[in-house]
Amino acid sequence: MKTFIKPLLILPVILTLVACKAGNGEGLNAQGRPDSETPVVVPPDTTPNDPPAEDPNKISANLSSIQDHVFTPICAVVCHGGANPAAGQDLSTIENSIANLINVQSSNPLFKRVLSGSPEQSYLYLKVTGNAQAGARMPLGQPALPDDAINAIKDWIAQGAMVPSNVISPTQVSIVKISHVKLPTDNQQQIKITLWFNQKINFSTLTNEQVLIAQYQGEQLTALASNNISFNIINDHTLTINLATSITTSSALTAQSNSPQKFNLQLNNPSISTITSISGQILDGNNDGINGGVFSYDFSL
Amino acid sequence: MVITMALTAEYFPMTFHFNKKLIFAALIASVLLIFSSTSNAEPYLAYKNNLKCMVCHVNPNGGGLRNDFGRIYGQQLLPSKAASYDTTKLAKLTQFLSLGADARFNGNYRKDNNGDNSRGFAINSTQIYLNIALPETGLSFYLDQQVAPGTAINREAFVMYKFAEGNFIKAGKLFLPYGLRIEDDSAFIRQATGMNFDNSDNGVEFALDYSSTTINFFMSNGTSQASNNDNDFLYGIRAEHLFSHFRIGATALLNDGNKQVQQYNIYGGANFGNVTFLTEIDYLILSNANTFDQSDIQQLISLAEVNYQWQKGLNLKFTAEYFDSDVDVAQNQQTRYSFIAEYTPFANIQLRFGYRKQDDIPQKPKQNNDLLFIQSHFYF
Repeated sequence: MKTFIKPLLILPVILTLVACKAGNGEGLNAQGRPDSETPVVVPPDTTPNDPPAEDPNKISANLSSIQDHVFTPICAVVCHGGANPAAGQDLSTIENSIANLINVQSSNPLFKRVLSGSPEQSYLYLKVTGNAQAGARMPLGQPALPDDAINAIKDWIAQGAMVPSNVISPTQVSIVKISHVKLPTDNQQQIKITLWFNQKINFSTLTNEQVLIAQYQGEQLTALASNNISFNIINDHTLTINLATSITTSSALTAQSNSPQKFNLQLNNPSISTITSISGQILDGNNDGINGGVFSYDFSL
Repeated sequence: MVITMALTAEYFPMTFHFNKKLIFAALIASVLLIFSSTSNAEPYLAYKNNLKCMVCHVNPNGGGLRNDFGRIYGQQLLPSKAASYDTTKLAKLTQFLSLGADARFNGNYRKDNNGDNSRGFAINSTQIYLNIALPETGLSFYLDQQVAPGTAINREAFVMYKFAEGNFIKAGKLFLPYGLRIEDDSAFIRQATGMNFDNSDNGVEFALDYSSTTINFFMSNGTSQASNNDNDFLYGIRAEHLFSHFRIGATALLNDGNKQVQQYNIYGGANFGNVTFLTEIDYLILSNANTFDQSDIQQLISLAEVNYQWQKGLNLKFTAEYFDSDVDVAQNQQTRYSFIAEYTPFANIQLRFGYRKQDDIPQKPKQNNDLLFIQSHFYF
């Protein structure tokens, strides 16, 4: 009798949980948020890279639509949002989706989560299609995504995984520190320029040829050899450019050896190549708020 | 694996007999894995027997590779018909090197509120475990590698040092100790907290282990990634105490990232003869998580599970779950109810038959669905 009664003690807990019902959704939008939090739809002409769907109830091949129909209501609602997003992949907002998907290494070293232009090489697409190379099909423990959602993801990636231009602020760069040291080798000095970018940068878009460092001789500039330039990537936002150059050569260019040496640094010259963020946004070098433009900075040592 | 074996060959005398044993073990493991699918823990068994997870598992926090006692339990006590063989000879390649595996293969039928049906078979997950315990040092290396479906993914890889009194320290890629580590990785308490088998983290853990009490302290990147992306860390503590017929535990965790997260839970369970009860309640505070006004979001998640061992080898499980994704928003809650029969006809194979009903708000018809599933679980 005693052993029969004891289990009954847990009944109240079970009954309490069983009595819990799912919400009736009253006053909530399709994402389960209050109607008052429904975002204002951005007019088409402000999102040239990401035109909204003709019918907002149907998913289309752009990130905003995929975010609204898939990432927010399905992926982020339990797993890829909240406290500890699964695999560190927070998809709860469009900004997070950009930062966590585009050109980001997946758990499989063979694949990026989203590789612009190539759905079959994108882990996201492989995951939602249940490709055997990508492990458990997503959404985990949920019905597979409908075909129109899968096709929208595929087409969005195939079309370059473009991001809405209104979503993110321009990628810009600023100088953190410039120093120079005289090397033990005679007549050699090393110049170190530390740059900070406000967005995570895809540093594979940066090459020696991209960096132009020139020394002033009066009003004229003389370029220094780019093969003496090396990079030290501190983190996704920070880079140090190292330039080894001859003091005698550079000093000879100045009228007086004791006067400060004056240099110019240029980045992001579109006639050479441009630097992009990890989400594919071109550096706004001249800080005019529009993607692109040469970053030019004068400094003295 | 190859490196490990090479090291083993260098440091331990390897006879021809050992080579044969090694090859045989690898072949058997490979064949079995082909036919079967989550190295997930079954905490109800620990609660039923009022034992710590470490009694059956190499990893003191449970899950993954079973130790000698865990293997014997799985062969003799769990199944309807006890095994006439001893897989220890297969699993323990040497006194210091042991292997294990879990594999689950699913067949599903699902119908959602849109009227869409889906059905099919899939390998849920397959893991291989390896543990190298160096003699007389308290030092060991543990590996948990998911090998299917898809390409190999490392889930855990850590070095552990056990002090003489049972305390231990681990460093590497870990499943952090947090609440109940139940088998169903899709449960709300596993997914909404981010503490699941799909989300190990890099960090260190130190545990004080007393006879009836275990206290874990841990610190990790908090990003679930190989490197830290914000210079802030996740800090946590879990404490658990066993009483005569029940146990109770609590976890507190701070993920001090760009958007700070605080997680708290209490969990526990009790055993009354053939009935075992488990429960967990989580409370999460997500700073600035509301993307509309940057306000904080509080979440409430709970689970209650009752297991009834009808007869040896046959366990019936009922689970009720509740998830409130924002306690300040009304009528947004989700629920899940599951009824599962777990039948272990003989050692190393378990069949599971289940029905699961998930309910969400009507605006999300796909999240309102019924699932029927059958699963074969090979364990070794």
